[in-house]
Amino acid sequence: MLTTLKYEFMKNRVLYGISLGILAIVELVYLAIVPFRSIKDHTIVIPIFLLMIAGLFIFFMLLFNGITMFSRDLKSKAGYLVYMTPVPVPSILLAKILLVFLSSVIFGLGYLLLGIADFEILGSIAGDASGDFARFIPEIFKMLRSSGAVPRIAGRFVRYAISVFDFLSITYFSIALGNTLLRGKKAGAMISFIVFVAIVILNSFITNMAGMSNLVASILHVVIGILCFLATSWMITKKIDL
Amino acid sequence: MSVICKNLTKRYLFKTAVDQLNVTFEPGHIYALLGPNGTGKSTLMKMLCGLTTRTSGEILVEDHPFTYRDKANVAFAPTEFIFFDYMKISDVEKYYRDYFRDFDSNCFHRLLEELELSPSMKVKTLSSGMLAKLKIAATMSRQAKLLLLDEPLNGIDLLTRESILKTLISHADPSRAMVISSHMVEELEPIVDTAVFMKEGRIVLQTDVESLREKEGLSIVEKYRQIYGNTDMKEAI
Repeated sequence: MLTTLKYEFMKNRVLYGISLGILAIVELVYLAIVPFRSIKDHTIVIPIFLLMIAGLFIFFMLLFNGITMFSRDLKSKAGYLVYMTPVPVPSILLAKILLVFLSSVIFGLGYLLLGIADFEILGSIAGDASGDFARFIPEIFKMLRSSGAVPRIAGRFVRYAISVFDFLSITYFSIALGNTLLRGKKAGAMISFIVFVAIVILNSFITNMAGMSNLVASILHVVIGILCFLATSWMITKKIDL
Repeated sequence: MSVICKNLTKRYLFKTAVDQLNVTFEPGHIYALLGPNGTGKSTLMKMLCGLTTRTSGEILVEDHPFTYRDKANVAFAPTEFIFFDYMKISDVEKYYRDYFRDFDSNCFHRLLEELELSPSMKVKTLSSGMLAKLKIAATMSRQAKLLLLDEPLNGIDLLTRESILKTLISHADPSRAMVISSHMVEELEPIVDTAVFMKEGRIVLQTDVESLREKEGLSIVEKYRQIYGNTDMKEAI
């Protein structure tokens, strides 16, 4: 699985480079503007807003790319090199999911650190005038030092891991369905999309169900994710057609 | 390692690509898989290496059903571009070395030299002839028991075809079977010992090339013409 993870990373390295490049440019704009703008005229909000948009854009691009790579491997000849290796399909799928998870977590942590550094710079330049911005960092550190912070952060981390696994498993399931069992069938793509929407609705129903604890809801999400993962593995193993 | 296909069938919505096909590939033989376009040659090869699953029938490898583990013993060179865009030839080597234990890096470098390729070349910028050579080099550098070469001579010049054929002959081995599909029947004739003729997804004839010459006094090309008729003659030669 690690070998597959390595090559999935290699395939995406240009995208990662572009993402970091975009972020670096926006960060440079921020660093160039901060010393010359007054915090009072609110123009400093523009580069901060750009940084936030860039972060969100890259985050969703990482998720979206995880989906398109999987789809491309099942539709085009690029999949030959992946699926002619003596690696079991679940291992290939896990590597793809793990890459999205790890890349988004690493990006998220890096982005958080960058944000902290940017707010520090802003605070040091604007002083008291930075108002709410200046209070942001101490609030974060206060929150981190508070009792129960570590389990709370670990809980969020686990919940994020479940969300990524759940979302990608469902998406991969519907893509695999359209490219294996329903391949070449009339309305095959439509049916697989409807299946995807139905599972997403079921998922949100579980999340919003009254009286259900977070733990039970998370367990049900994991169960749905595992079922989709197993079904995807089965479909690709038994019905692949490149 | 012998590979047996029993009643192997691949059916699509409106077409049967491979139909109740029975064939055995034995080590020590070089097979020519012949037939006009759309007779199921590529589909058969893809089934043999696990890129396409069968609708019905069986593929037995040493008497057990084909699983993903058997991919370790099957080397496939498809006719299409299969490498990742970022790859240099040296990356192709790393990829094959990482995934296939039977990959011989020394052999790969020797073949690159023979075929006039350099490890620093970017795969995406290679000509079709160079790509064909690269696929052959990567595939033949594996000590796989079953080698599947789909149209290895397609769209490439005479000299490149000759160097590829030379490479194929030099890698013939009694411990492995080589299956080559090609429309260049004439050029394939000197290097193969068994010809397998396919028509509409079925095998219409499997014959020893030597006995075809001795018993019927026919070459593979002549037999091809006999089986597929004049309409496919141009394709055959």
